Amino acid sequence: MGDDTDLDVSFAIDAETVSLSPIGEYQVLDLEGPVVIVGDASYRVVPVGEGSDASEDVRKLSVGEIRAALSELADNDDFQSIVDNCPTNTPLVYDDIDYLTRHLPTTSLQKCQKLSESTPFEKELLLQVAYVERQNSLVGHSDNVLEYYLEQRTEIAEKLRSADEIDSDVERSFFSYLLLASALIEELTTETVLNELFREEARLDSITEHVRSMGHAKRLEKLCDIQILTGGDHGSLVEVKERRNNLVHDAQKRAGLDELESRREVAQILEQTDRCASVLLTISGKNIESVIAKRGCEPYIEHAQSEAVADTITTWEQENPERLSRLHDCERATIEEIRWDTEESDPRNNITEGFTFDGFDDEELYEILMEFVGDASQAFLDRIDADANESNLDRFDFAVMMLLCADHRYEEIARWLDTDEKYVQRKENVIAWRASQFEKDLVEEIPRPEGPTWPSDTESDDQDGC
Amino acid sequence: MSHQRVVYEVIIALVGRVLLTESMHPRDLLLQERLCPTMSAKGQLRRFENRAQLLRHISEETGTDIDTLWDEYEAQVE
Repeated sequence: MGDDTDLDVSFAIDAETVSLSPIGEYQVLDLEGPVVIVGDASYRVVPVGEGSDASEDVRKLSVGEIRAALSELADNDDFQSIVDNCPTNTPLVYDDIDYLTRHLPTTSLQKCQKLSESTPFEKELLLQVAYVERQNSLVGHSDNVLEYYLEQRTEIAEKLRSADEIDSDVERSFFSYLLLASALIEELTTETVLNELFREEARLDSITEHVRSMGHAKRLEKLCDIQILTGGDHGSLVEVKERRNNLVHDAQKRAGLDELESRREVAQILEQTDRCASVLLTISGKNIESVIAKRGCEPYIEHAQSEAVADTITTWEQENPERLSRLHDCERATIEEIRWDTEESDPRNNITEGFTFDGFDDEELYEILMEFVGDASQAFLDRIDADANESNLDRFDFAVMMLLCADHRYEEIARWLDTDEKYVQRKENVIAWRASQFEKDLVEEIPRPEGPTWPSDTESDDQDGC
Repeated sequence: MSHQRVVYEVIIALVGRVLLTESMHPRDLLLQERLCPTMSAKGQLRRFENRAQLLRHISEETGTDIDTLWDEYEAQVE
């Protein structure tokens, strides 16, 4: 059916700001010790307490011997079993090995000991490497699917805008999009169920397998039961699942896009599906930086902006020294103290501290200042990302805490974080006793859950079931 | 086990630098790197989101000047 109307498709996931950490090229540098670079991010072992020296025996190995042992390890089932049972994160204050030896099941530790006897590697080293392997597998997977998803989303949106009608090209592109959207949603759903239902200390390989074997519908239902998913979002996610199943299993429906007749209808499905993926990205903690940046509590924003400005100065000292000097030389500017209003979408027009604008008309310097603040606002998101990773809470709980500490109302926090008000209330209980010194230092004061929170009559009537 | 294969350069050995270029799994890269003499079996693996975060941290930890670290980074990164 022909359709000549202008088509405006708007998506919930902002491809420009979503945190993408796809698996990239790995490089190893020696910067006062080993550093592994993966894309823009890097990993380094940070000392905890008194360090111990590596084994002299290990150091004496020849390159050939090391390579032979590595080759053996790569295909070793016992090693993979250790990896599968490793946690995805360890508490900040503990040494990784101390923590891992207490965390892993006895059988995994026995496999590690056995493997150490049959290879040139100490058991501690094997554990560390297994833990890194586990972290890498977690960081990469959904993020890679997200990258493919965004590419496919762009493709189908462009085809839809340029086509006069729904032809086979649009159908194929839409089908690919739906498959990628479903893969992304299912992956994020599994990750969220693991985060919510199985705390880190219980998350062994058998638990992960159990969650995977539950089936997608059951996982969504569990997330709705605990009210991290609202009833409305749960319904939308079930619709996406059913649409995907219909198209996969019925060739006739696939050819006709399950009776979608106009470009507008297809665009609406695209928007709804993208909104579902966006919800999962938020509640899985993968896309929380911008919400924290806009709505986080004042002490934390001050900390993160201060660090971001310091990071930006470090970068500019190397990459833009002349322009940085211009800013330093300007009497109106105190670069280290530059801050901006985070509630506005464009930080460059909202500098609140560090620069005096009265009577300022130097356009060239203004451009330099805007560029600096633009870079600082990106470093600001990076800093939030780093703090969320380092927190003792998981990333979504970290976001909930930051918003609770800013004294926002439950319903506002729930709306901004794509979750249910009840879930925010329950997390307030949890955060009050689970936050570590790291979080307490960042926000100064953790909110205390005080006063009863009975549902209102309207709330009960409006409640969508799971 | 699915392995991402990567191209890498790694510096090993106490004396001199042995340059290898080979397709290897990240885990193996890390394993090799942890065999460096500077490695410690004790510690926390920490992630940094950009170069400035990393180099500021190393500078604070070791006392090495950031300019030196930046040059080293530039010289080594592909």
